[in-house]
Amino acid sequence: MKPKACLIIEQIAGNIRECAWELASLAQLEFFRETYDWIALIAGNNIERAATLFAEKTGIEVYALCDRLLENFSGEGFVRAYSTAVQQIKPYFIFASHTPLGCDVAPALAIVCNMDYFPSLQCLTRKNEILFAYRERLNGKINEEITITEPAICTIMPGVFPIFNTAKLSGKVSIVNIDTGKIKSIPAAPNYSPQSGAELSNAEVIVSAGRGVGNSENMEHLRNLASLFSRAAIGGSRAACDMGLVDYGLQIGVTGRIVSPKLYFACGISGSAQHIAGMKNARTIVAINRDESAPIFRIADIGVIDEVEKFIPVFIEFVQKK
Amino acid sequence: MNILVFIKQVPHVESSFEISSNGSTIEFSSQTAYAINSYDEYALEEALILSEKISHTIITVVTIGRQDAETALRRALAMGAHFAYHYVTENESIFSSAQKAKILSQFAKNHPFDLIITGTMSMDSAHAAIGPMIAAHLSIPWATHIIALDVNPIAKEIRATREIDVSTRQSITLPLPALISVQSGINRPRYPTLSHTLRAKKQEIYKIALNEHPHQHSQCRFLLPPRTKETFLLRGSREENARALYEYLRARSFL
Ligand SMILES: Cc1cc2nc3c(=O)[nH]c(=O)nc-3n(C[C@H](O)[C@H](O)[C@H](O)COP(=O)(O)OP(=O)(O)OC[C@H]3O[C@@H](n4cnc5c(N)ncnc54)[C@H](O)[C@@H]3O)c2cc1C
Repeated sequence: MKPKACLIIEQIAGNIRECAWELASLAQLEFFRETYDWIALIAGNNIERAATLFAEKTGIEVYALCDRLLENFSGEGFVRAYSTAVQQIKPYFIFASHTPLGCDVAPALAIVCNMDYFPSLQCLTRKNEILFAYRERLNGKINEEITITEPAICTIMPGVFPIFNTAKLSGKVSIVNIDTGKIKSIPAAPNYSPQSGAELSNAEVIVSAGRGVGNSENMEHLRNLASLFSRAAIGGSRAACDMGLVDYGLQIGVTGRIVSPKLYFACGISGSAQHIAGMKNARTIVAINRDESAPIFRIADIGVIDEVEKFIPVFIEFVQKK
Repeated sequence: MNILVFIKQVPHVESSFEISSNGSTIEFSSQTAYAINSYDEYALEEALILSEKISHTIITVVTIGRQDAETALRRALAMGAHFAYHYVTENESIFSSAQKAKILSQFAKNHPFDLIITGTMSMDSAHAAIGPMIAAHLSIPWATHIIALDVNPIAKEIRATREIDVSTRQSITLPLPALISVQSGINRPRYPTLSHTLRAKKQEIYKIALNEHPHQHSQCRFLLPPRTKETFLLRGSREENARALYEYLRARSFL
């Protein structure tokens, strides 16, 4: 029998989250598929349908960890459920997603199960029987190569691994009733309220603001830039939203909107993995940043090393004279 | 109410650095500006907001860091924290998240607290691990990625709202003592006032010796990230760059 490895599959109200399919693709990488027997753990209440769907699409065996107290997410309840399963399965590896829900449970699970913790991984390869992983430091300016030793829990940055699920045979589904026992947390049901910003999906050109735009007066330059194009819209990084430069509905990235316009201007955006995951499929990427080593320049087609607020007016003037 | 806020000092994103030839260390240039990790500033601000609403609230900030991380603690005091503790180490980055969580949970065991607030992650390593690890060590309930917080000191509970993505939120009620980690944008961190800054200069910072020793359990090597595209970088004058960008976009029928 092969050693076991687990995936932590996120669901909300019975719907499997996008990041879960990425983990499934990872488990299907040749060396992972051949070395381990994979078990996907889904915790919740009334999740049989989600568990079956996941098993059918991926061919991976699923344990549905069920309890009334797991109806809504709490780190406490879910760690209880996963650790019960982990004690039984004794996996060499556990992969979770580096997402708000994944990062709520995985570090605590590492402590409870006494496993090493390797968060935020973006790439995994095996060379000479050693498993190497890569992750970012300094918002993507530096790449860190680490060796992964088992038993370990790893979190995988969402939006990095492409999804391919080609299962011919469904995986087995086992319902495991969990006795969560007493938990102190009282979680409420998640609340979905779609934000503004639908125009971003149809825009052919997106002019996106980052922290480097500095203040809302400078947003005028970005709006002027956008007005040079038809079907253009304004977006922003998380930092731009936090600064009040653009609405949260216009946040581009893994936890915001995923966009693929023909032309994307990244203005004063450093290029963190969470942002890039939301815009890397833009056909042409223009980056304007004063720091030559900003990681956004590594994925841009054309880059201007300059101050946003100084360069854009000069550019607009040049275009208007033509 | 007693609140512990765990903070970290990090280099500014635009800092220049060099990776040593064997890839084992990152050397920052001597002009590097260090500051409180911005997520931790949000954490401290949230504690300060609570202290304005709930009388007799004491805020204690704690850091693990180099001697010069004292600057971050002084800034936290100037923002309004009451006490500051410093675990001094010459190289904070060789401690794993798990080791740091153990050190900080030990601190929490020796100092009374009702609430622990941390930032969701640090800007430099982005592991987002310490908060839930500390909660697990202390066997207290926790919630991460919090963007709204309400404390009921009489019922001794908090109601926190987490952001799962920009359109999906979830509220959770936790009895105290509890731990939360806050997401960016939960508040607008204040600037220290002059009088607070002057007072903070004189305040004592309690230094604690680190008994824990880092153990290098995994090999690690730093590299520059790969380029995914052949980027056309414009390094000319502003006017030359404007022309080059215009021609580039024109050739692709954008303009
Ligand atoms: C759970 C979670 C989810 C997240 N999801 C997202 C997401 O969906 N989308 C997202 O964007 N982020 C997300 N983030 C945040 C992300 O990690 C980064 O912090 C964020 O993307 C940084 O935004 P920024 O590039 O605008 O700011 P910074 O990283 O601060 O970069 C600013 C850049 O501007 C440059 N600059 C400064 N001044 C100027 C100037 N005058 N002219 C030109 N350039 C200048 C600097 O050199 C720097 O490169 C998430 C974080 C967490 C914890």
